[in-house]
Amino acid sequence: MTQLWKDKRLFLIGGPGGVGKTTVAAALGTRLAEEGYKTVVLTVDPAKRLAQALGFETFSTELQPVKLKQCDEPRLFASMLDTQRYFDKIISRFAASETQRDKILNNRLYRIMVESLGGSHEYAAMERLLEFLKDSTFEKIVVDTPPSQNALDLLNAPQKLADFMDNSVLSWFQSSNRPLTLFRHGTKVAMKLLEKLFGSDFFKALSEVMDDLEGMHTGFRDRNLEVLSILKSQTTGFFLVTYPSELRFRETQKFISILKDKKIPLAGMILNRIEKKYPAQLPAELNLKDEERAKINALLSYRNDLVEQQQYWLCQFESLCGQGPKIELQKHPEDIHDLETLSQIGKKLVSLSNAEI
Amino acid sequence: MKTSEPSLFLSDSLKRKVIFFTGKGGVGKTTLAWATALALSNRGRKVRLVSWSPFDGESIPQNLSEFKVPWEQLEVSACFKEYTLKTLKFEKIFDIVFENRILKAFIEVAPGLSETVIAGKVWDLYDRNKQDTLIVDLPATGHALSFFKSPMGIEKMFATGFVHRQAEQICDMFISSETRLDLVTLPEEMPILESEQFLEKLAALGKFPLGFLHVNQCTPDLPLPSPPPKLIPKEIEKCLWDHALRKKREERAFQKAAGLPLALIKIPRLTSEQLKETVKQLAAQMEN
Repeated sequence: MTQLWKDKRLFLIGGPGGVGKTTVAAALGTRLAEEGYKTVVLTVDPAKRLAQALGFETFSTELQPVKLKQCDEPRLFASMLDTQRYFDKIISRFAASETQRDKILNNRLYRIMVESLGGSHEYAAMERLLEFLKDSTFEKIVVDTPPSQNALDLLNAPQKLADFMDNSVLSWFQSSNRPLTLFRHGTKVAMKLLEKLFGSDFFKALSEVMDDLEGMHTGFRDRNLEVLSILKSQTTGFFLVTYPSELRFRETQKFISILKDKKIPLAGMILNRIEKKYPAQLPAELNLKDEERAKINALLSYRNDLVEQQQYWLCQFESLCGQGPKIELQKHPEDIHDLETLSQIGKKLVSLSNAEI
Repeated sequence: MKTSEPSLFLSDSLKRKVIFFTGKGGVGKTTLAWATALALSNRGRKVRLVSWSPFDGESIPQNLSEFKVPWEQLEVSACFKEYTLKTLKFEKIFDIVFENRILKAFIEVAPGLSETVIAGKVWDLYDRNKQDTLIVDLPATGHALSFFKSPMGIEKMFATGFVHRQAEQICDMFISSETRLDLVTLPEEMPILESEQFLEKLAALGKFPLGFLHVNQCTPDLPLPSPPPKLIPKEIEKCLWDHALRKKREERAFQKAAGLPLALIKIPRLTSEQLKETVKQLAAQMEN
């Protein structure tokens, strides 16, 4: 294991959907635990097969110990994220009183908002994370970021919520009886328009939630700052899992530029599902029937086309991240069923070093 | 359901006014949506393609414009503005009050509003061009589910307002026999499982006109000598072994997929580097 993995405590595994983030997170967790660290893997993807690979039927929101071969006491734990529960917890924490808390939690609109709110999964993931970070139980924390079209959601979620919880935005929706300032006069017209669009019940319900959320903005704003400072911390590593194809390349390109804007360092790039290179064709001197030779050569030719296709985009990735830390993981011909395979992938992963930069 | 012929796919598509594509991330929704649009357009059909992938609009390669398929990336605040102006017609107020962070904050948190606004835009395009086919490239299954769910929720939740009336029309479009919902997946356990879970949740919402299950990136059928001839180099033997494992894995996935209420289409894994080339090849297969 290289220094990179020893130095950091929090590993965020992000990337576009369908590139194998969950597997990479589980593999890394397995390897870190085998290296002797007490580790927790936090996932949002209830991948059943992966749960089985880790030794349990399904992921649950409780901490589940994973039985590793070489150690008696449990060193690896896995947990699944329950958005709803965590959001309720957040509200409970920031609410000034029990009455305020209950009013919000029982509001019908609040429940729908939590379900549909853009970024609520991401926000809840960050909350859970803060809990683990403050607790010294775990030496290493691996987070499989929520499945989203683009891992940017995760980074934007706290900001988005903090923006919304901003007092001036909230007051706009609140049915307060403060004197009509010039601004409030303008908003009154706009409110009428919204009411026309959405109907009066909707608007009333919304105003109620906003009233209830009064005063909670400081909590949300502080949280946002806290999350940002963690993302930029030396002991945090943001790893991007991706795949060498045109669309994934373009997504990654955009993602890296946004990381740069936000001044969040990228600890490494993991190119997943890389096709193995085989000989181009059978050796000519081999004594084979023509038909057999042709069939096998056809397979080799197809496989080499796949390699070439990926190679083209691997070169593009090369120019994208230059000499930065990068690792290629081979495509597995089968679904991953066991800790042994996860451990092997993990071994390869922790050989990645940041010595070059 | 039985494996379907690609030609059946095209003839069915010609009968539809709206075709939705969704599936797990990274399975090839965008590729399939473009190939379908191109194949229909090559058959002389007027096609329009819209994508709603909240964050990756810029990742669509520019060179796809060569196909001359009208394409649009839907964006929530632009659609919201367009819709509001159309229904209420007071631009001045809109500009003064709405072009600020308050509106942006509102759109982002109001329950299901983004989805409803996008669905409203889709409905509008469908309503205005009844002779054409509209192809909608939806985001991954989780987001797609809220796309279908939100207008239905809004329709039930709020008894009045423009949005309620709009939501009713959108819901009618969702379940119309001129609409079709296709899923894209991979011949692997997890993506098939996710398709299954998506369909279960969708069924709880209502009776959607389900179409085809596109199983993308299938390993081609290459007849190979069995058992492998002796004395071939170890590396090549490994390749044969790997191929056999992949085929076995895919066979298991097909068996699972066969239980789903959609017509199965196996799409071979192509080796071109550019999306444009892949789209062209897939469209040619559909037309064949």
